[in-house]
Formats: sequence, C-alpha cells, structure tokens
Amino acid sequence: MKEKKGKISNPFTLPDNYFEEFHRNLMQQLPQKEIATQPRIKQLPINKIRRWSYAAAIVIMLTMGITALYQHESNETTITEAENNEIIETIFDSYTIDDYNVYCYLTNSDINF
Amino acid sequence: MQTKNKFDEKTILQELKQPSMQKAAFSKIVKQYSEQLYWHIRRMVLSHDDTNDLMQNTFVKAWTNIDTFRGDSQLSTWLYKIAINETLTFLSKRQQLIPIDSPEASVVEQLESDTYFNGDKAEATFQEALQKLPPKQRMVFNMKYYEEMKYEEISEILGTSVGALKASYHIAVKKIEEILKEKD
Repeated sequence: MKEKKGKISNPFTLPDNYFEEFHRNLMQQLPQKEIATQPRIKQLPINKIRRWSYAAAIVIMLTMGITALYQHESNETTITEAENNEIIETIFDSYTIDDYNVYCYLTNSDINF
Repeated sequence: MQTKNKFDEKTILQELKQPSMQKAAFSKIVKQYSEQLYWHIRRMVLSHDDTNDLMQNTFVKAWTNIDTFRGDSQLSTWLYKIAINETLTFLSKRQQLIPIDSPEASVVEQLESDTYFNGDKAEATFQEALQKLPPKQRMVFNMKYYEEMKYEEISEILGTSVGALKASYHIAVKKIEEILKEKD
C-alpha cells in the first residue's frame, strides 16, 4: 500500500453547501449559556461566611479538646507523683538505718576484723 | 494540523474568555474545524446522516464545555478528542444493537446503495476491509493514511505513544492487505 502515489481517493460525497448549512444550523441551535455573574457574586460571601464559621467551629472544638486533654493528663501526673512520693517514702522508711543499726553493723564489722 | 491564515488561535482564545465575544469566536472555530472533523468522523461511521449527528454532538459538547478549555493543548486537539469520544461511543452502541444471530450486512452493499457514496466496487471493498479493523486501529490508520497526520499529532490526540501508533498502523496495513488478498 503506497502512501502518496496510488492512494485510494475519497469516495464519499456530501450535500451541496453542507458545511455552510451545518454552521448556520448549529449556531442557531447552540444552547444558551447561563450568565451567572450576578448570582455568583451574591453567593460568594455566603460561602465565605460558611467556610469561616466551619473553620471557627473546628478551632473552638480543637481548643476545647486540647484543654480537656491537657487537664486530664495533668491530673493524672499529680496522682502519679503523689503515689510515687508515697512509695518512695515507704521504701525510704523501710530502709532507713537508725543509729542502733549502725552501731550494730560497726560492732559486728569490728568483731569480724 | 492545517490551519487557515485567517484563523489565529491566540486571538480566538482571548475572545472566548469574553462573554460578549464568545459566540462569535466559537462560530470561527466551527468554520475552521468542521470540515476536517467531518471527514474524520465520516470515514469511521461511513453514513453521512450519522456523521452529521455526531458533528452536532461534538460541537454542542465543545460549546457547553468551552469555559473548561484552558489552552493547554491546541483547539484542534481538544475538538478531535471530543469527536473521537463521540464516535467511539456511537460505534460501540451500534455494535450492541446488532443481533448476534443476524447475518452481517455487507458494507459494500450498504455503500453502493448510499446516495453519498460514488466510489466503485474496489473502493467499496477497500472500505469494507477497513471496517473489519478494530475501531481504534481503524482510527489510527485513517489519521495516518487519509488525514496525513504526523505520529506526534496522533499521539497527542489519542494519548498513545508514537511507537505503539507505528506498530498499530503497520499491523492495520498488513491486515488490510490480507483481507483484500482473501477477497481476490
């Protein structure tokens, strides 16, 4: 099959002045476009307000949530610290060596030496 | 793609952005591209009436979506894409409407009875051979063979690589040759 020479010619035909007619009919039948510049301008502030109110609600909810979480965590920290102190004191008390024990220890050591 | 001297795409695009000039600019677009789109569709669907319907659908869709055209590609590329989409959808629907049991109607007979076909038997047989190709392959063949488009242009329109298009065209030519040999 050759590209240029001997190429199959176009065997199709079409009505006379078809393209002129087509252009005329099409331009008459084209659907009207919505000229929506005015309503769009009116709608825009509503959308903006809506967006800002959503953003504000999110910020308020986040602030409240973070505050509540922080307070909850700080309460938990106090309890833990109190408990820790209690435990430490108990341990400290049980391991406190009084003078008597020191004397005993020293005496025994001396004896061993 | 061929462009007439009077048609300045940059100016047209600027006019399209202005509501008062939009319709006039679109009118110029229709005048500029209707002929090449017509022949592109006609070679795919063969019937003038079907082509006329698809042309209307193509340009009405272009008009309703003209505000979304950002000028990233050429206007012709964009219009071709719409036309191709319309044509392939039409061919797919037409294929579904043919009952499986019914004998396949001869393209040659259809063309010979068509008022808007004045080719001889050989030309009708050639068109019948083309109709046996899958639609997308036929489209590539038509764009290269009849419309003499560059592979790069076809690639931009169809979104297929140049290599794949070359292969597709080569396979299409071989298939047509085989079909025509079988006919002889």
